[in-house]
Amino acid sequence: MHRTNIYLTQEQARALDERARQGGTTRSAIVRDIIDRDLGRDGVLTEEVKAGFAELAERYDELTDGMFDDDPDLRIER
Amino acid sequence: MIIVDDQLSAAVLSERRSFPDDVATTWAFHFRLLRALHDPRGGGQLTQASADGLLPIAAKPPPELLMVLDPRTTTDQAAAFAIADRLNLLTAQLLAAATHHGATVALSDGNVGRSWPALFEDHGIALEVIT
Repeated sequence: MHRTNIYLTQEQARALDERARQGGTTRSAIVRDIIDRDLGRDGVLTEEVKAGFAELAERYDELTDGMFDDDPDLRIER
Repeated sequence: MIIVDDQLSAAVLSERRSFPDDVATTWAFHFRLLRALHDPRGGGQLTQASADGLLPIAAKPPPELLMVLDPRTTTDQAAAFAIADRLNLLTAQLLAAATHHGATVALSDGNVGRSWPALFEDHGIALEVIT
């Protein structure tokens, strides 16, 4: 990590704090996420990717059948 | 805020499903989603798009669609619930997050634990089951 200081408007700082509060995270983490997205270092939510998530959601029970059964921390007792 | 499970997280990221409030998921549900995508039995079986294409978005979801709640905020509360209510990590973290954020919990019908409706009711947490 590289430490840096930046100047923000009060409105920007308030918006960052609100986003951080909602996510239970820090102002710094939000800034890092915004920079990664703006610099294109994250994935892009294309129509193909959205269709992939739709398929994943629709077939989730089938695709994850038994996947978490051996993990007591992640298992859901039905 | 509405806290959703791993299956509904995928549905939200598809933009085929939305909720009338900020949507978030817990760290444990996020872990399950990513583990499913990394597992060849899960993401490897997708036909519409490869898991490789979904992973960057799933790993760092756009927060305007889906926030991943920082577990550190509620670790102490989750640990207390785990002991008091005899819950595993997934359930204790979900209950603690919903309590802390005053959130509704929305779960796909296949992801509702047998004891969860009564548990959430006891703790004053609204539960919405999505079919």
